[in-house]
Amino acid sequence: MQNKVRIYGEVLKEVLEKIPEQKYRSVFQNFKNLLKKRGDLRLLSKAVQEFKTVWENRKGKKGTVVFAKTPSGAMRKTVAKALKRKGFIYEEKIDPRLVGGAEIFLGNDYLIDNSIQGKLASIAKLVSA
Amino acid sequence: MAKEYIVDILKKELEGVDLSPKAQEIGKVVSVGDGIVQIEGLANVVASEMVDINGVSALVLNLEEYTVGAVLLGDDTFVKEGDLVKRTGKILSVPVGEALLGRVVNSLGVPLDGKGSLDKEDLFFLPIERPAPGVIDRESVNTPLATGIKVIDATIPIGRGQRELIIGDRQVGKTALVLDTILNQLNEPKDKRPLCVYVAIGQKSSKVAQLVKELEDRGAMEYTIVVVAGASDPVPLWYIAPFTGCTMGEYFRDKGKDALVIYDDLSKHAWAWRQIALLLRRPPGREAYPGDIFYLHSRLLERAAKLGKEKGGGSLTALPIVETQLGDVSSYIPTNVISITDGQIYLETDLFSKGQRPALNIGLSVSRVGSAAQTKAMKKVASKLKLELAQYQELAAFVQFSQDLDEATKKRIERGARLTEILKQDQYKVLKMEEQVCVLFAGIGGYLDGIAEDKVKEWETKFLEKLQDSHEDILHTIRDTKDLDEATQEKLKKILDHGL
Repeated sequence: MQNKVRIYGEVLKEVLEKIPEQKYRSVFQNFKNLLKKRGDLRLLSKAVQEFKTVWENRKGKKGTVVFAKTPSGAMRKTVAKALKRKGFIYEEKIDPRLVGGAEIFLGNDYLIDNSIQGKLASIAKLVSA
Repeated sequence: MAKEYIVDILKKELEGVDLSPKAQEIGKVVSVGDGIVQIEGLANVVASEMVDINGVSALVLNLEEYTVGAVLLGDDTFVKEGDLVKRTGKILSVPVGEALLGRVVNSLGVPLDGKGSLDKEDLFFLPIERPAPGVIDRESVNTPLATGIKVIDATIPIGRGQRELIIGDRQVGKTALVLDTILNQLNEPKDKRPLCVYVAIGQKSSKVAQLVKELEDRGAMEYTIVVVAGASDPVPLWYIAPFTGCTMGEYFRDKGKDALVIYDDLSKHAWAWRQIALLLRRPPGREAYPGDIFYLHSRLLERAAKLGKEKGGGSLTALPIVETQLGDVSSYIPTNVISITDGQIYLETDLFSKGQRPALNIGLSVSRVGSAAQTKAMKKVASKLKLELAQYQELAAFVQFSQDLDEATKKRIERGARLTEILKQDQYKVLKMEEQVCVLFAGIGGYLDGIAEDKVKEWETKFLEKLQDSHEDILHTIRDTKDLDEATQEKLKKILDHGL
């Protein structure tokens, strides 16, 4: 069943890659009808989830860097370069709640937390344990 | 000044702690409700691993293709859809060690008694799920675990390393019985005293507080750990509580010491697991319990063992409690646990309302391995006691129909009634092995035949006082030799012949 889901996700991605954005809606409708015809409508949400993952990763994974305050140009350049070297597309966000430092999200799977907020949370956990 | 002091403490606490950034695997909360979270991502997470969601820990139980099912070990109001989930890489572990003795902790080993944090020097962390000792590592039960309760120590003896179920309806004295067992360990020499772990699952906090106070007042807390998963705590904490208690007991077992763990009670534990399993959408089986409910209890109780000398010779005795509904021992959970354990102590409501305390049904109670651990002295009195009681119970049924009984039968019934009377014991009135032997010796020897049934208790008190005051040598001999030899028997007979 899981293989089926994966195949549905991949096929949908391949179809959508080749057509203009205006036709997406009709393709999705056809996709839904296809699943209904094959008795696989219950797999729709999983197939869409799988599609979402492969669609997001088709150009490479995002490397989102969350800074506590706007970084200097040199810093931005260094981080972006380092991420590109590892195959990630650089994206930047600002979140003052981090207090200081930065968080780096590598795709949806990994986080490198070098923020003050993260360090304080770790200390709080250690002290209260 | 205060600021510097706090900074100093923090510096000490954080000495050697690595806070450098590391790549952490993350996921996202897809849904949360009833203490269950569905997580997207965390492709490499393993079963029983702890994950962190906004500072709340969760235990991973379900691993599926696209989602991970976990149970929250804290308040689920702090967790919402879309929250970040971080892997910790740690299997759920709890603190173990000497530092826990005398403390009241929750299922995660966090102190609840307001006595400050645990002494970290005597503390270790062990995973709550550990394999039970193998066949080669074990030894047969050979040392008695004295409960201080005459009827149990004589007729259903428990050995160190045994698993003995305590079963009965609500309010029949199940907790009172185990509390007495813990208190009786005060009578054991310090070096051989079993260290006790009492696990309260889903119980009212007031009841646990009363129990802790009783243990404290009587000096039993110094060798006891109380693990509490209270009625208002999240159900996952009920689920892990017995495993936590078992791990704490195992630490002592593996160090070559004797430990006793009490699970009060496994019915509520089964309810907790049923709730979690249903919320995790696992298929329900009989009485809506999941298919692995038997394995849940068997893997827990299998960890109770008497280890061989090569492994240090320690032991972990388990006394699980199961509550029945209207005396139905044939329902699902009671039959499961009966088949797992090495015997059961069956407490009956009818006997309780008739004033028999402990309300133990000797006919339905059994200890499959404990008799091997009984002392010689106790064996000598217990074998005759069991025979007399069996005969009495058989004859007592006839008395209801017939008035014409021959002298011998009448005598047997009278003796049985007095023996039943002498087996009654109030709470907190635990007796040492040698005292029990002397009282039972008098009972089976017919020295109580001339005493009115309602005066038996009074007689027993006087007899024990006399022994303690004027004939301590007899008690010492029985305690030291663990035997009731001919000479001691003669001495006892002499005292009893003289009367009190």
